[in-house]
Amino acid sequence: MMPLDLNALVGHTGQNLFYVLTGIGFGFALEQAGFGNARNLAAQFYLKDMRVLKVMFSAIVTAMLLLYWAGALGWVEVERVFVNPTHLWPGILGGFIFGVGFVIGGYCPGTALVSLSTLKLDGLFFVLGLGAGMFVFGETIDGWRAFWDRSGFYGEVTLMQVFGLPAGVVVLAVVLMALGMFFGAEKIEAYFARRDAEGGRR
Amino acid sequence: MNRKRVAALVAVAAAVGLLLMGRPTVEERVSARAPELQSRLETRRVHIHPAELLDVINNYNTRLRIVDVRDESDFNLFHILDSVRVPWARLQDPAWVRALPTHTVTVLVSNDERRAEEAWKRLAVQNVPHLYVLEGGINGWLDLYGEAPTGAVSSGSAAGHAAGDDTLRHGFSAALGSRHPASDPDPLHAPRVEYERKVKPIGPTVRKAGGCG
Repeated sequence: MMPLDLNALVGHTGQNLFYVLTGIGFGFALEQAGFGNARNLAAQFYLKDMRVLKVMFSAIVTAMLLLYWAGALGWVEVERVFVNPTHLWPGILGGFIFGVGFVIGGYCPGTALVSLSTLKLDGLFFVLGLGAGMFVFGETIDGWRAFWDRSGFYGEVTLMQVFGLPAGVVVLAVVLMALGMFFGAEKIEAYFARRDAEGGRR
Repeated sequence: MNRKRVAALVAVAAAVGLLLMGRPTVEERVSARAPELQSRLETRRVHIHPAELLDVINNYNTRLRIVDVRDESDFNLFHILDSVRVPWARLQDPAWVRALPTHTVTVLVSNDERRAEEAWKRLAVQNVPHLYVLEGGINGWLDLYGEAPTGAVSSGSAAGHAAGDDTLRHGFSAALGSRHPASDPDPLHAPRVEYERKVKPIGPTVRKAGGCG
């Protein structure tokens, strides 16, 4: 039953090979979605091109449905799947820095690597900045540790635990929320397209 | 109907189906995997000799959790030092299972083996790693380490308890718990026993990470 202990199954080299293949698939999907182009990504923030929201939420909904169906069929032990621990305040501050960096630079870390793979200069400089930021963070970590590691720490919490609802109810709610957001996103895109077209005619 | 509507319908149908189906309980998972689990137990690759448990207890490079699944009264009479009594219902509590550290050897203990094996099945289907059963249970442990001054009465070898009825077959004058000398045998003076080593070494602890970006 999954999740599998890859190291025990295929050894350290096989495990790393699996990571490489997964990374290739992930990068390919991002590039195919147009995430290697900063203009496509930045357009999300101006509400003109909502593909980031649509692709990301489609991925979340697909993965969630597959995971919980696999759990319902007894193929995956969902409780053993890693959940990122919640560090609330560092998460809010980090999310703010991440968002500002995303809208200014046009990339998030993953998409910067995707753009670098197609040898885009802006992607290269974004990755260099990313490395520099990580280096500075790593060198100053002792001054941050109390905030970064312990403030607003809630452990591994899920929506099911927060709302006290069964997984099936939460899954259905997330699916309906995603569909509502897709519908809204299409309306917003159509509005901006119409407005731009009218502006162009004037 | 366009593709977007079809995809939306499929997603909603899958979510509603999931809601109606629910998740299999631990008992249902044990039933579904009964032949496989039983065959794993029959190989006895997960049964460790009391002498191996004592070695693991005294090996400070291995993190160990001894889970005692006996009734509270038996646990109060005698238990191995640092063992934790876990009520049956908690073995099926996802929050408790989730909180178990992964880089830790877990040894399940009952008076003989039957109850510990049932506990093993329930934790195995929840993918708890590095899971073992104490061969012969507490009766086997006391046979080996419960010497005369302790008040315990010897009754056969560890392997002889494999098919026991899981009752405590050693008498105690009081509920000594882990204050009983056999609870924490001195490895230097404990009987030397040859055994087949079954506990697999656990690799270095790696902090898990994940997430996007």
